[in-house]
Amino acid sequence: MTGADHQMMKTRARENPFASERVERLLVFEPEWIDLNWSQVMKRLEDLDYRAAVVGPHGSGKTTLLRKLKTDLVQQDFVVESVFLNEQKKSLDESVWQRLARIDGDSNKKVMVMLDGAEQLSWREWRRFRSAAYRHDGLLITRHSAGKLPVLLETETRLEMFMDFTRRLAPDVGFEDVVLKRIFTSTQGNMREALWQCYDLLAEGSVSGAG
Amino acid sequence: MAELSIKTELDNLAYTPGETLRGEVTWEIDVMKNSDGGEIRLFYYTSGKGTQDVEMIKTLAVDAREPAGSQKFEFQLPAEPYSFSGKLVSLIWALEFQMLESDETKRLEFMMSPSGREIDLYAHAEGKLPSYSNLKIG
Repeated sequence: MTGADHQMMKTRARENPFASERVERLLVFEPEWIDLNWSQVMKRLEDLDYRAAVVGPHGSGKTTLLRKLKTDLVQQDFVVESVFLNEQKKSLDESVWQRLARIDGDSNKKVMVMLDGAEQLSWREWRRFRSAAYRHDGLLITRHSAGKLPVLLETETRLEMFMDFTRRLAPDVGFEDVVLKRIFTSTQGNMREALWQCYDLLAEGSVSGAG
Repeated sequence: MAELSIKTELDNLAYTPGETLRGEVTWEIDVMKNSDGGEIRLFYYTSGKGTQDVEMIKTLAVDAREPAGSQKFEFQLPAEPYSFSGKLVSLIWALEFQMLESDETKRLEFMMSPSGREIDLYAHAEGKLPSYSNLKIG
């Protein structure tokens, strides 16, 4: 195989169906997967007095689920204050504390605080955060395991979901089931990581893609 | 419902840095609720594996008081960054036209580089292109 032939099989980033923005648009956890619908989720959140946790492993759609809940809550006249933590950002800086102290609803609007990645906080910082957030009308967090707040719902990933995502993102790419199964297993069900592996396979020209 | 279009003078959409990009937008709106007008945006964005970056370069107002019409426009393109594509990221130049009362937009992508073609970083990686050390990607 010549270099030119090999190059033809590689998918450019702009054409890669697993490019981040395409994955983000699709990778939204659907409550239907656990036999719920959105109105049931919102009702459950209300029943929990708007203090709850979304629990699930890495890459199972917690962040995108939180984003969807934020949209719904804003439509219900909530003011939503979002805080994001991850492996690189494990604690809250002073600006967050100031925002939490400053943010205010009014007679028509309630305030919901959202914390994505609550497991990153130390016990002491979590106590401080919870105390600051509890002065508002709601607190919704994501975590890898249950414990801090009542569970609103648990996100999970399954091989069938991954295969479905892959087919929807790249209907023209003939991924073999055995390859997808291997990817899903090697990433331990981390959907985002698994989809990145698909991106790499296309970028490297290991499978034929849109490019 | 709005019918929007963007057309540029050059059909091949291949531009060089600093060149003036000229074109025309047209619109046709079923029911015009207000006369907020429209906007034409010149920008570039990245696509690939990682966070997407968007850099707005310039916007032009479109004076759209009638439900249907057209307006010519021109932008002087900056010196950089060049359009490119590789394994991890592509940099894509685009024009976007939006009537502000509507969510509908029309986008037209084009290439900008000294050759008017997208720089192929795969070829670069295989030693077929000279160094582009001054390439900026936002």
